[in-house]
Amino acid sequence: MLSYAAGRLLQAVPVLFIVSLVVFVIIRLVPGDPAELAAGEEAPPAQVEAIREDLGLDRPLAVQYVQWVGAALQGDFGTSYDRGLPVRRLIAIALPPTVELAAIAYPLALAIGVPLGAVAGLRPGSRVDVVVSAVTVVAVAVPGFVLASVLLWVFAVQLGWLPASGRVPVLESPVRGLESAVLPAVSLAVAMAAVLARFTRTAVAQVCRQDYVRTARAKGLAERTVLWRHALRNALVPVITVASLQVGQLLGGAVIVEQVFTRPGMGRLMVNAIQVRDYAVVQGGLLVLVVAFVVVNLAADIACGLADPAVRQA
Amino acid sequence: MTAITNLAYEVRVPRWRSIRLPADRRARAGIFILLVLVLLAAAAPVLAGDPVAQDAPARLLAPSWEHPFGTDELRRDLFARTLFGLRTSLGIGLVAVICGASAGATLGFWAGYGPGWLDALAMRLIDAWLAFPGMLAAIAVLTVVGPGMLGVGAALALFNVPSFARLARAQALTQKNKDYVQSARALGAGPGRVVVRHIAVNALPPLLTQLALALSASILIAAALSFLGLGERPPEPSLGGLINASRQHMREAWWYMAFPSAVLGMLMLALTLLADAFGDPPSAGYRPGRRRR
Repeated sequence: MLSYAAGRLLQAVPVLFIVSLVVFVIIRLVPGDPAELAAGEEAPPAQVEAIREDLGLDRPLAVQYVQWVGAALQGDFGTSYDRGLPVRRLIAIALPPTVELAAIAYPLALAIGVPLGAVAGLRPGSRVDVVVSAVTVVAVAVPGFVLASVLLWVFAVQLGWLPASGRVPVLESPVRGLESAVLPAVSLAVAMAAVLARFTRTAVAQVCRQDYVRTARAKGLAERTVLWRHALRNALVPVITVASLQVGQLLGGAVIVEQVFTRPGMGRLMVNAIQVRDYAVVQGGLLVLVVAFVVVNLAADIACGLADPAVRQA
Repeated sequence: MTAITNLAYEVRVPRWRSIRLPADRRARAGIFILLVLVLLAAAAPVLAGDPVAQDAPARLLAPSWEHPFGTDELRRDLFARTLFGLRTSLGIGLVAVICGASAGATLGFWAGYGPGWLDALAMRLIDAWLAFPGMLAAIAVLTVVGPGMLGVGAALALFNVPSFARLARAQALTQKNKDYVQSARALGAGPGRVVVRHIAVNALPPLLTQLALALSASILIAAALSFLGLGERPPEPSLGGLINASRQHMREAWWYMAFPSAVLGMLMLALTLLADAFGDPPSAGYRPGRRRR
């Protein structure tokens, strides 16, 4: 198990390297000269040169990349030219609300999706299965931003039960914090829960057809033991895999949901930054989110190894 | 010799049978909805008027025979705007998926069939590629090219490459040791011919499932980007843009949001049903960093 985990860790190194390279190159591809941009229009050439030297733009690309990664590893992502603040500060402000949203939406999706899918998968073709399948297909088809807009209108505008926008930190004021987070979290969780339920259903139904499940039943094991030890545990691997991929959906979905509920966070930070072409912010934000996604996937791979010894051999 | 030729020939024939749609009610429903939507989109210029003309008698008119989906805040016909938005959605989805799938499948087939170093290189690249969730990848591309439909299309094409590459590679790996590939090579078929005529053709069914899934994901992300104001520029209509604009008028004009949302939802539903009909979702098997043998 240890060597499997170590091997997976090693595999993540080239991935992280390429990811950081891509994020670095994106800014180089942007049309226009960063030094001229920073100096402002009509700056004298000497000043542009000074800034170019100051930013290290006169050095070879490889050197610039190493410097950039080195700085990023220390949490230095440069300065936002739109707000004049260090990108690190902007991210430090924007990250907690997004993490909070994810920390509510993700367990919610898991708690709804996985049991629903498991119940349906254990009895394929049953009435429960038909209902779950129908509901999840429809839930997958509803775009997150439509759901968010409708929820906002019904529960915040029409009924006035919940706040329509903003965010109160849950840790500071749990009740008002949850009130401000529940609509965004539900908008995010519904589609995720539906996808999870669909995959769990398929995985469980497949495992239940396996010989070893039949053998377990034939040798007279209690149905509960068969379900938990033999069927559900083996169905766990694809479910963990999909669940970790869903974190990517979560990050993308947060961008939209934060926009709809005018909730501060990484998504709003980045969408605003694109619109004003504040490249350092996009670069820093992308790097943080993508690295987080890689780490989650790594953790999920190791979890798969824990759940299923066969994965470790692969 | 003839025996081998026949064998190679027989198995090489595309197994269309296996991708024929099952007599599944859900699959039929999916095809039916998709056909209706495609026809509506194709016939948009005939069925509906100018999507940007501000010539309706009043703003925010309720649905009527004249304006089946009502009108918007600038006296534009929402039926026309929705249909043209659907056209944009379908067009951008198709372009993104066709470009992404052909590039990805080519990369994947050669990675799986080609020399080991190529495979190792391609796989690391694909792993890193997959590490960018769709929305974030699109944001990265839009940073470079600026907001707009062109950037969205390019971003989504790029987004579709790695999943197809992974799937195609897995197919190439399983197919390349099959007897019919071996016999084709024994008969002197070059790598190009083997990949195109034998491996690609037999890998079609699983790729079709992915095609439907990729199409729905691409259309959804494109709509979300338009919703965020990073896609189609006003006044050109897009489904995401329409839904975004309608939020200001939910109280007085329910139809404004309802119809574009329903059309987008139906499109998603049809593609999901189709993907289900083609087979179980294949995406469980691929993800960043997982090596397939």
